[in-house]
Amino acid sequence: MTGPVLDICGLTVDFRGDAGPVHAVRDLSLQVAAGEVVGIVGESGSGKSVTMLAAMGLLDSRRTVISADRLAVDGQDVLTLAPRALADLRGPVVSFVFQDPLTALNPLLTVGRQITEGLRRHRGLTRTAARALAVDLLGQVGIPEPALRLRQFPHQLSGGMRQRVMIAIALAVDPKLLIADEPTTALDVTVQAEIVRLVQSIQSARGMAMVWVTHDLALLARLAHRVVVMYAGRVVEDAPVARLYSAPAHPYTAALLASGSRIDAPFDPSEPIPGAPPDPRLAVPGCSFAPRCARVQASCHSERPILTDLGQGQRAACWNPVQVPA
Amino acid sequence: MIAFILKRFAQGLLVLIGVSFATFIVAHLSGDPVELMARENATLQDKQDLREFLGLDRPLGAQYLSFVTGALQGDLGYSFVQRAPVTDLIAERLPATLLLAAAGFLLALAIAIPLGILSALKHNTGWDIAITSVAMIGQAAPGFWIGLMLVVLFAVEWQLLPVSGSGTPAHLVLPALTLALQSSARLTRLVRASVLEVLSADYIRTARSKGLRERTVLFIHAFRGAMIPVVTMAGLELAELVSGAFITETIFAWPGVGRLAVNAVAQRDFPVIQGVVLLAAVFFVVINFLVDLLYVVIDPRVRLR
Amino acid sequence: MTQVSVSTFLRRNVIGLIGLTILSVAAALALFAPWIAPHPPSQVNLTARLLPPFWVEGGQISYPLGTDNVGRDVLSRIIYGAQVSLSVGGGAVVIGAFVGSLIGILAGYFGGWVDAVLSFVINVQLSFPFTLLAIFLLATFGGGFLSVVIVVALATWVNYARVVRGQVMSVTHQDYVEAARSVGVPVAQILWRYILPNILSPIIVVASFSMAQAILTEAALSFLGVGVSGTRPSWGMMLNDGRTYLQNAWWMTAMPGIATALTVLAGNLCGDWLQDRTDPRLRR
Repeated sequence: MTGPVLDICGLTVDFRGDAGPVHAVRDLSLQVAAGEVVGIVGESGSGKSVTMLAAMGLLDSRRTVISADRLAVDGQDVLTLAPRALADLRGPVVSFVFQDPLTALNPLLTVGRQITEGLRRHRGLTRTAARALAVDLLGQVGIPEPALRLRQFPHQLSGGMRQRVMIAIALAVDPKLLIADEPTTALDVTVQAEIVRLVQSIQSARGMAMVWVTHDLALLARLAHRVVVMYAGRVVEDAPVARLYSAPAHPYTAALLASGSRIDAPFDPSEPIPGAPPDPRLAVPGCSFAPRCARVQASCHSERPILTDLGQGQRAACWNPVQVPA
Repeated sequence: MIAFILKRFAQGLLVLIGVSFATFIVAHLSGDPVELMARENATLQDKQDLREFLGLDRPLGAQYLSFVTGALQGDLGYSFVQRAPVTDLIAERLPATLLLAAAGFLLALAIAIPLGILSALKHNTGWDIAITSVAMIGQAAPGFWIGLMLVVLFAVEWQLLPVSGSGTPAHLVLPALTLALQSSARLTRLVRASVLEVLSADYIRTARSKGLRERTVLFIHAFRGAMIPVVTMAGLELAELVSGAFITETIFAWPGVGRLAVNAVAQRDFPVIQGVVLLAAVFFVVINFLVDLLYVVIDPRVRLR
Repeated sequence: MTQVSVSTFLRRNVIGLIGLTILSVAAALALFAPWIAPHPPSQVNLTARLLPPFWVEGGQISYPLGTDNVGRDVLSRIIYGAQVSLSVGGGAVVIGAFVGSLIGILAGYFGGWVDAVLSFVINVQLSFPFTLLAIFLLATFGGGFLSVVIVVALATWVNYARVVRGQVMSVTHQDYVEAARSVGVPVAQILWRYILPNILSPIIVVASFSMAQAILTEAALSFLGVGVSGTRPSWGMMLNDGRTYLQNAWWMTAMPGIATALTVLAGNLCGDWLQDRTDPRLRR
């Protein structure tokens, strides 16, 4: 299978609001190759989570309008798939790890049940076989006494353990792509580091593709092959991780990097850059970042920049990118 | 968990004590029973004798205590109007009331749960608006009026069911339906709200992201969570039904405790009133306690730590 | 603030508007009864007994909703009945709100044993079969307008108390109130400045619902014969009158019931709408 595991082209997601549509994602294109780890970084409201949820049809169809030139997962067109077929993809092909494990896990079902139900649904295992596999999975994610944990309920575990359980659930059916939506944001700093290490080792062992959505640039430095920066529902920069950190092209990326204290210290996401993102209900001519940009030019306000290739696998949507060394 | 149960039990007990005290006080505030019972030409001495005989000359505290100890042993006093022990009078009619309340309750659940789920799943569509509107009207109309209208429709116009009385299953239909319609109006809206809230929970999204069939997502994940508040409400509704069935009993001449109570009020038969009020309150407290116990069983968050 | 079109405003607030409209109509009926009602409500006319509504065969347009067993016009009695229902409802709401809120404030602000005692009283009342108690009290101590209002208020004060208590508790534990208390700001001032503004909107929401509940309770009490007595017709009383004639004069029961249901519905609609509008969780 040589094609990309995730192939998004021209994705637009609008929410039906009371006073008109809210443009959460605008004309977004993104590819994830097999085995590749892509980080998506952006402020709250940049559309990063929405993009991933839309990709797997997990948004409320009554309140959202999704359109795309191409939205394919493992070669299959998500937009035209029947619901049953789409559900078949979730788990074996793509699986999710969500941000808050306390609310993302069903408080009324045992941990074991929540792991085995996916196994039984997709692999048709018997209850005993599924349970044995679940014990093994819990061990793989570093949970002590896995057999005991199977019978426990989510509220009986600590935050870190709950997130490990979520990861176990996501890995259960051997997905080709794991989408992690801010999985460490709700955890303590020390636990964060452990989870990141765990995910890294699993990813390299299984060679699966991964998308890691976060607002923490520092975290991606160790984890990702490539980083995509989103702003106001669009991709503004897309580059290999080393390149992005050493020579960011888009002024927004540069500002993010500059305002974070140090690359290896926890990134402070609160008000790094003066100003605020544009109202998603309004359609903005020109570049959405222009009002806050230090390198703004006249053309920035009238014409929207498109993603252009700047060489060395780096693309940015900017009329006046930061001068990149060759 | 044990602590939770014990605490609830103690609370229930306290409330019962409070209720028994309040009942006692109210019954005694309402006037001197001796005056009502004595004959026309009774002398003061006669009345005093009667008072002593009935133990009404003792201090209030003592009277209350004997009332409570008697009640605990199943003796709720004696009705002079009907010339029978209150306990017997109530015991005769209790099965009928319980039957009616149970029938009404089950019917209410059978109506409310499917309709509530349906309107939640199809929320903001025509189905939802229709069901919610009917539920709102059902909540707004006086229960007894609904009962009367049902009589007009089914018993008078269409002659399908008897107007009143008891004895055959057909007699049970209209009164049970009357009770059920009122309760189900409230319950439907509650079920709907509960299901909607659960459906927007994160763990439903997780369940879908695992590729589970929609059927599984709904029945295993969503409804289980939604039913917890419904169980509490349903328990309260049952308690209300038991103590509130008496208007319905009156309309349909159903031989239950409610009718006994209403007649007792008209006849100033205080011991009966006292007994019925106490009984209704006991039911209420007991049912609430049972609902709490049920909570322990169905919600693991309460059960474990 | 973004501009909202008329159609959006209507769509969002249609529920409240319907409720308010119905309530206004009811209030208008009550206020202007002598000018609106086609006949005096107590006017007996034995030649026009048991007439059906005008659209049924045998009905007359001069008695649009039919007449009762002594020839009184049902429509006029309903119009005048609005006076009783709304005034009992209104009175009960005022008394209930005042007493209930007071108790809620006491319980919520002082906490501790004050709260324990008051909460206990609330629980005891909730366990009582209220309507039975109401009938008993009214039968024993006599009916009359004031008694009925008090009894109905007794039924509803608990709702206010619980909501206000919760709200007061959460406000009292906020930092700025704790600070004010520790600095020595007098209790009265704290209540006035901080607590009161925060409990007004929940009280109004509860008031709307309890108005509806009060009207229902009054109807039930009148139906059982212990409501507001006298020559003034009340919807519940009409329902009681209609019982004996259920088989041959269904309109005697149907009409006042519809009137009651509409008014109660209006109260509930307003309550729902107010709740939506004032719920801080839903504030955009």
